[in-house]
Amino acid sequence: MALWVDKYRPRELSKLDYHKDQAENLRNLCKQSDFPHLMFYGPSGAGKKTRIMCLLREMYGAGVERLRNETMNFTTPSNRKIDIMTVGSNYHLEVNPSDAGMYDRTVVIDLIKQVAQTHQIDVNGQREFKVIVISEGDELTKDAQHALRRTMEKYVATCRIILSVNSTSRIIPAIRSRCLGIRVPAPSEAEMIAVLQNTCKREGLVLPPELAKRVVEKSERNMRRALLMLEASKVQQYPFTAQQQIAELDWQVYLRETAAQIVSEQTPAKLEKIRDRLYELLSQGVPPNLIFRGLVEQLVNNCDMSIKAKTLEYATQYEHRMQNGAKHIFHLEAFVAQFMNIYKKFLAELVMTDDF
Amino acid sequence: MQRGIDSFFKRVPSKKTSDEDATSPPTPAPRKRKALAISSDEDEVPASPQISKHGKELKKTRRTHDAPDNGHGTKKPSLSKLKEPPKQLKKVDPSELFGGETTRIEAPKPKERSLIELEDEDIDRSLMEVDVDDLIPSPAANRKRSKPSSPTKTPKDEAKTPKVEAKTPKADAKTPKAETKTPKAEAKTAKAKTPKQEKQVDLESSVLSDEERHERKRMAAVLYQKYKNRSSCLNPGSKEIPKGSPDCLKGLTFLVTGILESMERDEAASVIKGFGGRVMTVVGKKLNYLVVGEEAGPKKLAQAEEFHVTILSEDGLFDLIREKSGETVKPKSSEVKQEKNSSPKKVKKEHEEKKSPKMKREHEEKSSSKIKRELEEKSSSMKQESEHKSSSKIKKDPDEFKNSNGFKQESSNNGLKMKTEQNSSSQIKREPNNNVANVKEEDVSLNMALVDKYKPTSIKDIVGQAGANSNVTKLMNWLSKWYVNHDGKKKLQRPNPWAKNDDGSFYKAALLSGPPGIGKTTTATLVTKELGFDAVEFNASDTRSKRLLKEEVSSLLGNKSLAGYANGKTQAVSKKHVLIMDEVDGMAGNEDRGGMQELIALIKDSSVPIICMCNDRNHPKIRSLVNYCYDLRFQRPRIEQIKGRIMSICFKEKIKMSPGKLEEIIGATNNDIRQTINHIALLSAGEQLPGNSTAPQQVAAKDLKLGPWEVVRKVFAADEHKNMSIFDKCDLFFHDYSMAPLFVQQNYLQVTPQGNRNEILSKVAATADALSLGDMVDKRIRANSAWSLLPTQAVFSSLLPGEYMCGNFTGQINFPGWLGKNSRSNKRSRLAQELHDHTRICTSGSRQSVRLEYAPHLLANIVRPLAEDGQEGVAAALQVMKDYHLLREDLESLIELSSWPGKKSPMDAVDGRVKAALTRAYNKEVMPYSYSAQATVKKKRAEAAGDEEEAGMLYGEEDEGGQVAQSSEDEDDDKLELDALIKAKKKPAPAAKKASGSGAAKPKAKAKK
Repeated sequence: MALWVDKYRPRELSKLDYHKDQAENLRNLCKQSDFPHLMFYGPSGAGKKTRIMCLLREMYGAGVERLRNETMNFTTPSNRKIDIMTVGSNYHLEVNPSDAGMYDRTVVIDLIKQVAQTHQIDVNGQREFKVIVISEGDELTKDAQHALRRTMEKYVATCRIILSVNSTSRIIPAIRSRCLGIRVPAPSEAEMIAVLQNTCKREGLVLPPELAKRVVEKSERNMRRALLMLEASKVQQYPFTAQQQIAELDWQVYLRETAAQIVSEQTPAKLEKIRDRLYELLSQGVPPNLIFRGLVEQLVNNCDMSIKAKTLEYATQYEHRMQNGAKHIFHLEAFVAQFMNIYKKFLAELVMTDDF
Repeated sequence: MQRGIDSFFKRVPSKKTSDEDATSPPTPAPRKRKALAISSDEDEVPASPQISKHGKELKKTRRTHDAPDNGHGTKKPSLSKLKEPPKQLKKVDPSELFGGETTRIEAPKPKERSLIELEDEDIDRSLMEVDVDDLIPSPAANRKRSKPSSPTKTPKDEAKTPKVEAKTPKADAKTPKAETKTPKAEAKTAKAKTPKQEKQVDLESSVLSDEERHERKRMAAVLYQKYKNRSSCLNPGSKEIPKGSPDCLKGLTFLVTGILESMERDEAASVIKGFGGRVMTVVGKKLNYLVVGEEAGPKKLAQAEEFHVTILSEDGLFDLIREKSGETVKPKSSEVKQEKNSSPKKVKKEHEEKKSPKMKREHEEKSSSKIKRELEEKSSSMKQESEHKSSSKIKKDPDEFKNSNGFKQESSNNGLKMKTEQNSSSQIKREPNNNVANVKEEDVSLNMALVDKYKPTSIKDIVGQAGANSNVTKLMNWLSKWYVNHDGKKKLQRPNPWAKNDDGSFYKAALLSGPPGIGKTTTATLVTKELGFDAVEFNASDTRSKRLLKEEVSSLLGNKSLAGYANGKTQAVSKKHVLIMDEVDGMAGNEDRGGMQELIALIKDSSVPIICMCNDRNHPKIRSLVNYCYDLRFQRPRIEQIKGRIMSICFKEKIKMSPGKLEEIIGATNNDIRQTINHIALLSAGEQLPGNSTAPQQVAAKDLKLGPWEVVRKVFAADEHKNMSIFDKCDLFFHDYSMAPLFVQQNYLQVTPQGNRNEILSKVAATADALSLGDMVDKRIRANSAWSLLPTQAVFSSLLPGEYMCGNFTGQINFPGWLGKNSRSNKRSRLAQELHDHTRICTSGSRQSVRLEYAPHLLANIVRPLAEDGQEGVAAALQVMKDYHLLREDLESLIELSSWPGKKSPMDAVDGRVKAALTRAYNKEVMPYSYSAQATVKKKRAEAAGDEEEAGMLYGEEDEGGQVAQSSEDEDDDKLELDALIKAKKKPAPAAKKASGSGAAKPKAKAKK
């Protein structure tokens, strides 16, 4: 009953559906005895993690799929106890240091060092080193990244680090230069459609190409999202029809409604209601930059050309401030207030010109 | 002198002679011998009247009972000669009074006497008291007793005495008021008669009738009682003692009688001595002046007249000093004066004092007429008592001494002579009641701070604590019942924390909490004092570490207090202590380490009440203490309550201040009485400066912390802005710089700004922009500790919004929602992280994508079978949960994470029974996820003891499974899966394998291991 996205995930490099050249390169890489630190980067849902797992399997065999959870305890310099959940096999360890929040540096120093310092137990294994997979690497603080760079050099004999990041922009150059960067771009629409069709075939379903295309469009070229949507759609209605409604995520709906409300009324009281909705979105874990993006897309659609530029300008300004600030709501609200202001003015002018 | 005493005693022996003749063996000696005996007494009077009396008594006994034993009698004089301490005969020259030789010979002292002198004294005193007590209620009984009783009766009497004895001093010490009541009434009636009778005695030394004799005895007793209970000087310190030259009264003799207006008698005596005069104890020819106060001894007056002694009032005495000092000049400051100024004022109970120091004063030969009179009275009342006792006295004496209550005390009293002397001089500063307090205070406490000057001296004076439910009353009740409640017999119930009228009997300690300056410490000390407890106080200035508390305090509380008789206040050694731990919230740092724990331990098995005080009872340090304490919370008194008190102080200090201004000051100090008085003192000081009186009184600067609500109102209120500078506006931000921006952000939309309505939105936008900038600054401040940027933030987060949105609040001011929302989003992200951790093995996404993309689908996949198929869907739902390694709790977090306002929870569609079935099924099939194996077992154990069995079973299964797995490698797939499931603790979970579809890998991996 596992979801399709997990059920039909490729396990071997040879079975990957797209970026096959890259897969070939990776396989060649594995054949060499040496192996650099790697950094997989690409958007969410492109298949970074899948590729990493395939690569590990290529190197160590099926043993890497015998995963287990382990909880590791750390004590920060300020005597705070932290538990970090790791997933690992005999050959590798996957850790997400950003789980520890601001203490990720401790995790990097203690955990990674500790693992890196020990040799591979299995002497008969193909490799002499273990692999540490750091997921959400771009969430690492600068301190943690600096702590990492020395570790990467020092223990290169016993361990390799594979970073999985969305964007290299937040990785310090020192790390970037120590890693072999492997870009995993989002799959093209054609590739995605092929994957969806393939999946449906394995499930024994018939997928109309139109629907597949619409799902891919909706998913913003996020493979994971596309598969989940497809499955949800299948639950809603099967057999598929080309025009059937595609289940949307709640937060997307909520965000769109919020944008619509902004356009419908521009008063301080409304602004306060919008604030509550924004709070809700934030507390549901929707990243604020996604909120910005969703709002802008909707607002720009709904307003006149003359204020589109201004809207975008404000959006960029406040998003920038948000990155530098602490409380996201302040900036989201400021953006909404500014938009309301210019929109109201625009409407007033419109009325006046109409009158004359 | 001799004559005086003779005349007083005369009547008794004279009567006794007749009595003796008639019936009784224990009657006193014939008159002549008696007279001799008295003269021998007289000899000792200045030194110790008590002793002398006792001597007399013993003497009597000898004479009557041991009369045949002549050898005994002859021995004594010589002994007494040897033992007679020459020291004691300092001032009153025996030869002056009578033939020294005869006296010595005649004064027969028992062997034990000098050895156990003090005991004798003590017993005398107690006997006397018994006498007095018995005498007053029933004169008839007196008569009986006075009549010769047979020796057989005596032991009985004696047996009775100690009891009464034990009782009397206590009662005496405790409630002098109560005691005085009964005798007073009688005393009044007797008063009228007294002078007459006295005179009678004087004039006619002839034989009196039996009745008369008893009447007189009674009168004497009443007089003595009255004397004992009479008040101290009326207005102590009300008159200024003239600064005469030291020797101005040289060669003059004085006698003080009655109650002087401004001084105690001893004070007067010491003043006189200080000026070189002599103070006598009896009226005699050599007496120059008789200083008379109220209720002067009638006898002395009569004698004074007889001897033509000049009678002076107190004022007269002072005048005399002034007059005389004009003649003789010697620069030497008077001791008394200095003492008076330096020694602290003490509030004491008069009666208690009078009794014990009395004797010491005599020892010091500061003899005053009081002693004389007392002696007279005592001896008269004693006489009959001695008659009873005499028979068995000698044999039983030692026993009695031990029995007597004051035994030790007396002895130490002597040892404490020095102290009491000081004490008596410091009595000048005594403050008997509040009416006169002020007059006196002005004198003594000119340099005192107003706060100390007008400190409450009785519990009635404490502001705002008058009601029946006030903390003072509660504390009093609690404290007074403490020893009853905690005598170990009662089993007390811990009261319900919400019980309203709890009297705190359960608790061994009380915790007074409240803001500073409203009288917590005052309450504690006054209540303690009022109930006659001895307080041992520890405050923040003492080290209160664990060690100190343990070793010193606990042992200290086991002790008895000497304070009582050191002051001469009480007779009994006080065992009633209170430990006052002031400022317990100040127990901090290295010095007081472990102090709080030790304090709690101390409270738990304390044998004395403990009163703790703190400001903030919610302080983390106090929180553990609160559970062990009777919680008394002090509220700030209302303005009117404080105002009343301050007004009266203003009146007394002659400070002119309008009630309005007072209220302003009180408000500015936030109803802190102490602070208010300090402000008043400051203002009055300003007034007293020359040329300052016309200057406008600047009201004490209100540097108060405003609450955030008030701050945010001021930030936006237009009318507040009118007289505020930019700095004032910025200052608003600093009242609480962490909350201010949040409050402003929360509430700026509630403000209706002044001006064009069309401009509102642009103002709002500008405000939001400023707030956004302010947040950036805030981040910079917190991240880099760049606190110097705070003023910048003040501008962006408070000043600018205030300027833009300047207007009026139309809505209500709300608490910042950010805090609540933030904590909710933190909670949800924690749930999301947990979920991510659990599903991590079989999903690939980041936390965010798991949360936003997986969660809704997962939930739908679990709930759908339940909603559609009911009970049949349980297995399917459970399978999904298993596949994704979800716990039952994760289902709840999934629901929470995918809930949106206005959206129904998917679980609502599921029947309750189905839900229950799911839970049952879940519990049945334990989820041996690798991450949760330990956690779940732990949780279950914690949940209930009953569940433990189940958990144990699980363990058994696991072990079994493990063995099976080891032994059977080539089992079928099912078995393998089971193995894997159960061994999940050490090995990967099955779901991953199953999902991978590479079953072949399994045995391989196992073999490797």
